[in-house]
Amino acid sequence: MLNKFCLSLLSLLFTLLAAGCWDRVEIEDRGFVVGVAIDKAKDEENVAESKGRPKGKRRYLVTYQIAIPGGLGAGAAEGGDGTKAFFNLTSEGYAMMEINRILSSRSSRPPYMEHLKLIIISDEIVKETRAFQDILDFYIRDPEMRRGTYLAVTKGKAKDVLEVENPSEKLPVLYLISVMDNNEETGRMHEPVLIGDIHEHLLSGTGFVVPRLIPQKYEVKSAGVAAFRGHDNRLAGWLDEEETEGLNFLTGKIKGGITIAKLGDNLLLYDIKNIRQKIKVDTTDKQKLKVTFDIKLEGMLHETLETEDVLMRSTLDKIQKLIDEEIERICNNTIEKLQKHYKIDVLGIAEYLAADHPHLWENIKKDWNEGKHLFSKATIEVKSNALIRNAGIVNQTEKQFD
Amino acid sequence: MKSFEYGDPEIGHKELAYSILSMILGIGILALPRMLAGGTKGSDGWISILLGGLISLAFVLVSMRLASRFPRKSYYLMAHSIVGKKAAMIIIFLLAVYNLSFCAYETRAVSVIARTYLFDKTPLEVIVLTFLLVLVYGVSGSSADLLRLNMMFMPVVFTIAVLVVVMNYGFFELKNLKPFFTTNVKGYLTGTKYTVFSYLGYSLVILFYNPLVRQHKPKQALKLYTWSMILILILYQAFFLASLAVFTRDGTAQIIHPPIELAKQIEVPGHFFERFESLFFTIWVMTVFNTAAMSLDMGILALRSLFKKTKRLQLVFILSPIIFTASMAPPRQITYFKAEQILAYTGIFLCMVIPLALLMIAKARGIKGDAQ
Repeated sequence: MLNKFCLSLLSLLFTLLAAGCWDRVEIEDRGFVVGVAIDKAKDEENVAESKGRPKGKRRYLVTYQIAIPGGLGAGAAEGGDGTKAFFNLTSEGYAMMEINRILSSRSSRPPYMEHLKLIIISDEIVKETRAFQDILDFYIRDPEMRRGTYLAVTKGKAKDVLEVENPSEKLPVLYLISVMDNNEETGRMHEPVLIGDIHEHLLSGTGFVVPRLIPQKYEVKSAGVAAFRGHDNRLAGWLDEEETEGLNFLTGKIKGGITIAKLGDNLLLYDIKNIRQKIKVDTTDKQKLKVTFDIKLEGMLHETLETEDVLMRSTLDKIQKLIDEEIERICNNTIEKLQKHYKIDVLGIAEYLAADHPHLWENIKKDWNEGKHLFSKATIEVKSNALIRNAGIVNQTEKQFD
Repeated sequence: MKSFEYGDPEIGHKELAYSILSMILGIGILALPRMLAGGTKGSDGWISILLGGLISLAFVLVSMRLASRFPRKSYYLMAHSIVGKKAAMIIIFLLAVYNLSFCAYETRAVSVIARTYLFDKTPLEVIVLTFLLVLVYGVSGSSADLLRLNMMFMPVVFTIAVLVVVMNYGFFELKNLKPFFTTNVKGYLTGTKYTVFSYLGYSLVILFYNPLVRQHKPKQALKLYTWSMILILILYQAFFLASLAVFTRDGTAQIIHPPIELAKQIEVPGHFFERFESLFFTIWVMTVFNTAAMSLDMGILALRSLFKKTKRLQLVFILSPIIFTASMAPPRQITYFKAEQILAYTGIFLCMVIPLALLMIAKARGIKGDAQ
């Protein structure tokens, strides 16, 4: 009897052990970091640290945007109970992890990175050689991180971007993410770039682009991209909105958007629905490759300011030709900028060569973006072939009487 | 202590086929894509996986042939009648040590990964201990029960594993798989070696659990075992090619555990807090549990055939502190990577060379076990 009693007592004691958990963190105590902005720290002299302490190459000013789950409540109307859905925390340091721990000493909710959605980096840092890699190492290496985190670059202070409060979303970061996802609507915006993609570029040494965010008072514009040199991951320069559109055509990443061509003395708008892009490389002269971009588009005519009979074959042919010319003009502008000014291939030619001409690529990869600058020397031709599937639901909206 | 005894201590080939699957699926699959991507170019690693799979399949046949020569005989008795008592004792003792070290290695590996991704602050010792306690519970029953558990787990494991690959479809970039056939012979061979390593274990399952098999039907066995090898082959190919398509070859070669990253990549739409990798970790711990429990069980079977008077539970309680110490022994990750290598090479000898040698000697001398 006593034995049984002892046994049951012992098993009860074991249940106490089962409830123990080192890693228990209540959801209210977690600081869900949803966004990070990284700037260059200004005055390095004022740092009060002991002399022997190892110093990094640069000092960063890092801002975390931390979501407060209570303020996000679906039922609560805009600021229903008066709680804000987020707060921003800023600190300085030589390394990302160091700053992460500094922020823990100032917040009741220690930063928790599993839900990080967006990293914004100021152009002031990435102008420096290899700074990009230094920043991203933590975000790629730490097990809490995800390779699906979005990345953006901003001209000026990255911190400002996290402070833009738009009435449509409770969290600035969620607002930014939604804006960056809108590349299906306009071709003048690059598709979101993930840190996983960047890791792959840093490993292969090919050039890459990162979307640019421009903060305004109540909104942020996602427009243009920053082009990076892959071999020393330094900012090479910016592509503006039209050049980004050209880039999207050339890489086949355009998901939608319009092309405006001139028809007569007025405009016509071509709504892109689908794209198929192909690269062809003529490798007869290895020092001067001939690259052809074959772009096939499919779309609709959604607005034409000039009255034409769009049910006539000759009209459609004429319009298609105008659109092709316009697209080729846009693409050639982008190519010129990249070849002549930035001398960096972000068009995917390097990836194409590595995949389809591996032996040639082994020989020339050192001289592609640097050395002999074979990319800048290559002849690049664009052939656009736009198809008008359908010209809207009416033929003409007005009759021309003349 | 009284324990529940399931009525049927015998198994068929089906249970054994499932067990081969669960024995092979373990730690290996997490690192395999990285190892292959590091040694081969483009997507050429698939050839290595295929070669490794075919080699392993050949050795499954070897073990199967050997086992069906000696129906109802334990591995020790087989070896005994082929190479004599002393040699048999040495072989079985080595296999016992191998099995137990393998169990310790799996325990350590699963704990390290759980620590990295799931328990940041929990001490490693505690995770190892917890896993070990479950293992002890698992092997306290009969071997047949353990094999039936494999049958229960495997469909769940496979479903989730396939889902991880399929749900990554949106991230696939098929052009990452190019170029084809640019690897040199050495690259293919290194890749094949890694694949063979991650396949090890099947011969142990076939030979150690031989006495439990109700009735030998070689044709059925051949079909079922081949199927389990093919399923593994498909799963390896799927994880390897998916890792390449998502992370590129350069990326895959640098990511320590590509399948985990694949699982992390998935975001179930609509939920801010919904993540898929927790499911993946669950099934993965399930398969590692199967593998480790079978290794421990086979270690016990081996020791019991050498020390006939010992009882199963006695051995379990003697061995578990030893396994705990062994799994905590390597201080750093690279030390246990070293242990992994040693295990792999001795595995080639113990799980492939020895069964082949035994079969050849048995054939040459015309030795057969007594049919019932």
